[in-house]
Amino acid sequence: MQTLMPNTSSPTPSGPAAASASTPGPVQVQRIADSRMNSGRGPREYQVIDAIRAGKPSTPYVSPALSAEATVLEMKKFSLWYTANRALYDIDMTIARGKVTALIGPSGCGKSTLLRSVNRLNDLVDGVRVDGRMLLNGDDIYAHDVDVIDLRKRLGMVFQRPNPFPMSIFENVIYPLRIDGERRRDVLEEACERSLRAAALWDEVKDRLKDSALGMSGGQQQRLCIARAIVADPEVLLLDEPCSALDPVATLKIEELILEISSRYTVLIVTHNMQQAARVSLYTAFMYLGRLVEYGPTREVFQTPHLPETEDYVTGRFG
Amino acid sequence: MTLTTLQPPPPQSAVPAPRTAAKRRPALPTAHGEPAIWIMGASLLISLVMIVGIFGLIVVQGSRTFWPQPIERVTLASSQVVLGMPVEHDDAGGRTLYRVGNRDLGQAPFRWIDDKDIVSKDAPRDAVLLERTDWGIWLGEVQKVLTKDGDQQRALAEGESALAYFQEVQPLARERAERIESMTRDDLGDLNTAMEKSRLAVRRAELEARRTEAATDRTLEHPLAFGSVIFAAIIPLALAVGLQRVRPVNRLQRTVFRGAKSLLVMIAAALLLFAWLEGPLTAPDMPPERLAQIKADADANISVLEATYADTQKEIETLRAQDATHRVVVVEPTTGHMSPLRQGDLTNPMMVSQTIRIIPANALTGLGKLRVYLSRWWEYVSTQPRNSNTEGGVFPVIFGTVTLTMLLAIAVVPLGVIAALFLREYARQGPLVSLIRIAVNNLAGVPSVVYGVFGLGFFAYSVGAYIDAGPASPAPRGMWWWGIAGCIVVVTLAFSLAMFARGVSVPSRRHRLNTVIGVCWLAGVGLAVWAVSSSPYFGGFFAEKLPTSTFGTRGILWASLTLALLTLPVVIVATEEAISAVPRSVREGSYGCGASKWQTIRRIVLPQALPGIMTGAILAMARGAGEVAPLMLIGAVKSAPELPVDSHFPFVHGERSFMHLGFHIFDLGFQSPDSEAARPLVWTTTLLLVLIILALNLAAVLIRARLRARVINASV
Repeated sequence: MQTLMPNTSSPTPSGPAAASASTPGPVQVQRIADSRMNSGRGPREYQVIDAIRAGKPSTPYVSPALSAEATVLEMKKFSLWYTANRALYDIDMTIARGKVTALIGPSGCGKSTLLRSVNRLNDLVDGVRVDGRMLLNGDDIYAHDVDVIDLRKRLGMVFQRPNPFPMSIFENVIYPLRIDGERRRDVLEEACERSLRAAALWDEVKDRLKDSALGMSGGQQQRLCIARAIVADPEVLLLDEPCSALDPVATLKIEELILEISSRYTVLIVTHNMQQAARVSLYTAFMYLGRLVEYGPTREVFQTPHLPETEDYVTGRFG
Repeated sequence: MTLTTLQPPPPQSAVPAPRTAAKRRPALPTAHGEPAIWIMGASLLISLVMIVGIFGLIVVQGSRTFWPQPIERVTLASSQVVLGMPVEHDDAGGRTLYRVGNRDLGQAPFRWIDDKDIVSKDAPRDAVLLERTDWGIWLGEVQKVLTKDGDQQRALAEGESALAYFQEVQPLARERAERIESMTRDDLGDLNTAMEKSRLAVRRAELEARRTEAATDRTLEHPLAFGSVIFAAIIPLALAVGLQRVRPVNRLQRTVFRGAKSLLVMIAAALLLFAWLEGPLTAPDMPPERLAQIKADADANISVLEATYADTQKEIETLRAQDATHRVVVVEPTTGHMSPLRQGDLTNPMMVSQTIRIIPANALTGLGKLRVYLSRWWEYVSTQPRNSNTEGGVFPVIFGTVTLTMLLAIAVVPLGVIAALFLREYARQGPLVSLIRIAVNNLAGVPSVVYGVFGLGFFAYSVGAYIDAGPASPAPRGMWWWGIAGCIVVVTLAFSLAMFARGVSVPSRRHRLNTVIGVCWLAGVGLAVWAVSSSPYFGGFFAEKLPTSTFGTRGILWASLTLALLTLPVVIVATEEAISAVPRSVREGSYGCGASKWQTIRRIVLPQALPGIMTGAILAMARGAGEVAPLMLIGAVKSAPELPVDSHFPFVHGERSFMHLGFHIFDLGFQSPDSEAARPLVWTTTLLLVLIILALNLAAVLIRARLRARVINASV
């Protein structure tokens, strides 16, 4: 009978859960439900976000705690266009050296674009134009005489989906060294082991380094990608939603790994998962429609946010 | 609180009452069952029947050719007795076609006999089928084996025992005959080649002497002038090295420095080229006394070779005389004649060594027939053709086909892959690239014979003639050097602009620059081609052999290049598909590691695209191996005296014409003097061609499977 009545949207249990797929788990659903049932009032008034929606410039709130940190990456009025579409608006941010910084925000807010601007992967897209400056340890990334290849060697990147190369595990890890022409076996082996140990993968794969990387599980592949990203000692490690294609157990392992390697590397992570940002990062930046909204210590952003829109976003009331 | 309570309950009135069966929209008949599956199945079945039919026909017809047929002795109403092998029966006409052979008696090798004329038929056990080196088969009865020395004859075996004795001595005689043959072909052939080489050396020296006489004054004849040009070449090189050490302060300066450096290096190279071509190093230098010396050496060499030649010939003559004493008398019953030594000389019995195979077809057991069958197959695939291709083997044909296909693959795969790489990875996807892609795809639709005409005209008569004798109309020296200078300027310009364009961040300006660079490159390449093709300094590599063309005529190299052109679209399309199937995420991973574009292509894209590229190569090879029409114009011949690959330097002889299975089929079927006898061979050759293409494909598929396994289960 039900199939004959398409108009009566019968509330199947999977309906709302599927609608909020980006925030997994029943807890989140429950909270949305609570807010909808209890608030009873219309959408809240947001100062910053409403200005952004209206296309007006807005001043983000940046916590003073950041100015106390040593800076590894600095963005000054950084903007980016995809041909005619502007994706980033005058981002002013500093990334703290040796800390984990998370970028959060709803889909299409430009957090991945910002991340990919750091190692100029956006250059591969036709019609990309940038304005403003971005400094990596004081060097302007977008200066005219920058060799993009050299720049990317200073950064490590891990993508949404694990993308191991179709080669052996060993060759995958040492790929950045290979393309630099490193041939000494002992150097490569040493780097491979160090990197795999740092990525908490050594014990699992040390007996099958010659096997194809494509035969590993998704979580292992992603940890392999992290090992590959840190083998050349990057100045900043860029993680673009590294867990979005993984199951919860693998996600947990990656998060533990991020915490562990954050003692040695600066990590900039884009995530959709608020709990993840809360768990792994020391600083969190909330972005919306290509603009920075609030940026500060994670504890502050999640527990005592400065702006009401940040509070509503991290508690799942909008976005 | 359950999830269902979140939604307001739907108002009851909104639920429509269940429709009755009459009110429901009736379903179309096509909604029931699978009406299309019948026609799909039928189409598949028809296709399968046709494919299986044609392959079955080829296999059945092709594989039965060599099975020994029984020999019938037919007594006609006119009391004539005919030995023959029935080939086919014409039910409507009431007659049978017999293969009677014995062509040297002046009779047709096939004969229709009316059934009503036949009085009796039997299968005599002592009838034999002789496969002879010349004049096709002979049917008859072995009467005696004898030795003949001049006019003296002595029978070694007669009557009943003759056949057994014949079968015993025939292999020995064959061995001797083969030795004679190989001595004639290889030993005398080598001597001939060596003598020809000496003669060519003399001819080359003579040409050089003529050039020396007619030599125009070289600009740098004087050592001082030569030395100063060499010195002049060092200056820009030193300057370039000096510039290398200067650190540019800004982008403009760096661009200028790079351009200047490349210009300086090019100038140095041009000066060195000038010194090389105009200086005393390459000047023709053949004084009369040296020419005389070379002539004398060659004469001495040739006379030594001629002495060896005479000795070898004498040896061969001795063997031939020995061979000629062993004779066999095989009589056919119709006329009572015996198989003759040579046509028209019916009194002289044939030599034992003139038989390839003796088949007492009616006396053979099943096993014996199988042995004959297999030995015929072996002969077919391993020996040279005889009797204008209607007998013997097709080894050179198979060899030519396989060599051609290999050369084709070697030529087409790199070319196609590089072109596809540029189209897919580097070229900006726009109307121009689309146009090129359409043009490439349309190449596949051009009739293949057009490629043959093009290959003959372009490769053989233009490029080949150039290789043989140098440019037909060389440019004046002054103009040629101006062309070189222009080439240097344009290439340097392109290079500097390319360096400059790397720093230009505005896309539209970069694209405009790229267009200019492309035009510069094209002009540079065009000038370079012009300079090579009209160089006044090049007189051809094979001028001494003229007017006999070496590369300036049909040959396997030009044939394979023509087929490469023909199959290029297949490789390009397959490679482009394979390249674009490599996921973006993997490429980005590589770029993210700091790999350059070329490193990404070389280490990530190409290995992953390799199976797809192999598929293209397989398709190209299959297409090329089965192609005939262009080959008829560009190199396939009825009978090639030499194989395209042998043990003489340079081992692969691209200038030689070759035999090809496809052309062989055409030749057997339509150009044969004895089409009835050749018809079964058409099937067999077709079977062979199909098998070879199958084998090539299978090999390529296996390689591809291994590559694919390596990509997935890497052990590198």
